Amino acid sequence: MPLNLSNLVAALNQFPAYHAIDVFADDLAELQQWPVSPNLQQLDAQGRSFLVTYQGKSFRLEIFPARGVVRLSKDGVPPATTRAVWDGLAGGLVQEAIAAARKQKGDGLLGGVLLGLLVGALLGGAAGDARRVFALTYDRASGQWRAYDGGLLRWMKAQLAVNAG
Amino acid sequence: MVDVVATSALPLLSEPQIDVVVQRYLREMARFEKTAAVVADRLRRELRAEGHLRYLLSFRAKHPDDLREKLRRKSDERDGKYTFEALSHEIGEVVTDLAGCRVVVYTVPDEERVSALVRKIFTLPDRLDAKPPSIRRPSGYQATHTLVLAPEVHDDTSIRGTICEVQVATVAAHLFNELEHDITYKKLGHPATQAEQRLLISVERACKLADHLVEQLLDERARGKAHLTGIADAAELRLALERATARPLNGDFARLFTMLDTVVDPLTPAGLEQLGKPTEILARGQAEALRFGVAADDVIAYVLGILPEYQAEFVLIAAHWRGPKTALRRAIQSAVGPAQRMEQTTGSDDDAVEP
Repeated sequence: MPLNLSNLVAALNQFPAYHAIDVFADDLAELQQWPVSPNLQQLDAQGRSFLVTYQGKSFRLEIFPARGVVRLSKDGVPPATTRAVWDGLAGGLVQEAIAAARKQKGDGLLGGVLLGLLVGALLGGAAGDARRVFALTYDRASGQWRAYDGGLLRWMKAQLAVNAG
Repeated sequence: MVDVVATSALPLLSEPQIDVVVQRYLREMARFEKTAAVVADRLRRELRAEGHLRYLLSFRAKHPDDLREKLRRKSDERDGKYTFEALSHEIGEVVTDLAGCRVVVYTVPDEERVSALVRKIFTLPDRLDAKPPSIRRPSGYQATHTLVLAPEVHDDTSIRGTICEVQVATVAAHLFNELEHDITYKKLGHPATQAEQRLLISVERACKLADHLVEQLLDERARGKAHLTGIADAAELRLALERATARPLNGDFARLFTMLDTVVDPLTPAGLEQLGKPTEILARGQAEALRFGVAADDVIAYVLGILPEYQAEFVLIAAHWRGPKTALRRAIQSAVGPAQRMEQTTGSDDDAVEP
């Protein structure tokens, strides 16, 4: 059972100090459907960013196809009046991101562990500074996130922490 | 008396003798070119193996015109080594820089390092002037010279025993050395005017200052790199914090390392600094420990010191530690209070996502 968007929103709600959460693209259920879930409103022609609304709150879902990572972010959500929602769904980048994620971690490897990295502010406030993050793993049995400090910690930080935002 | 003075002022070598020596050198020049190339090739491989050194390497056989000029000068100075007989017997034993290699490096310590390497990898000729100390001439010339023997080359004995002079100098010294050589030593063009000499002295001072500053800069770069290099384990974390606080620290650094690595990316000495000054964090943590009646070692004090900022994260991290309750876990529990259970986790209460 992969992650779904509500799991990502729950993590962001639980930890308000973080503005985004990064997960591997192939771990997100909504991206594995084709055409992508109607819950995702495409915000650009390339299909790089989507609008997600959950319990009255809006989030931005960004695809990083080369890294195989998707980011759900509280920031960068266009105001309702300026939203340019595209009709045609472009799934090319989503497929590319899923393929890249499988390549990064191997399809079905890592013992099926589901990883997420909460992304916060730069600690020093300047580009290149260390960033506040929180490494998480999703516990399927309890349906809850747990702190992750296992052997993949360094690897997951390197893979998941995309620079945007 | 007059005759004696006149004789002692005579050059050692006549112009025809100098011609003979130079012509002979021209016939042998290929041997010196090859010696310089072989020495340079070996030196390049060794310097590459050193890895971290930045350098410029050049080599050459002495130009015949330069040899002629040097012979005239040495002859005028009546240098006892520069007799026609000695030069005719084996010119390379007298003029030891016919084959030459030059290594230009960034700093004086690198000059010393490379010179030591040269003296280690090559066989030195059995003569007193093979490895003179670093040259710091009154003229300002600065370099380290070493005479080495051409290394054995497979199936080729033509250069065996040939001497090559290896010069090592900093890039700043090299600039001055070249200017000084052209203006004072070679006496090309016209004798140096007073204004030229004054300016040359200024260039020398500037080059020495550059040597000093380059060394400082590279030291600072090395410190900066270490500052940004990731902390790999608990021991490195302890070292980084002890350096920052200038005192030994105690506590469970393995736990602290995993806690910080989970919430800071990348975890580096610079990243630690951005969390706050460790001395202030520790003082804050000790005050908190006192308030909660907790006995705090340094790790516990550090965690309590940053707990207000990372409370939710540390509670979740500590909730999943296995084994008996540690002092660190108890301290976190005391600080967050009974209202916040350590088993706190986060999940989703509703799987539905609204469009």
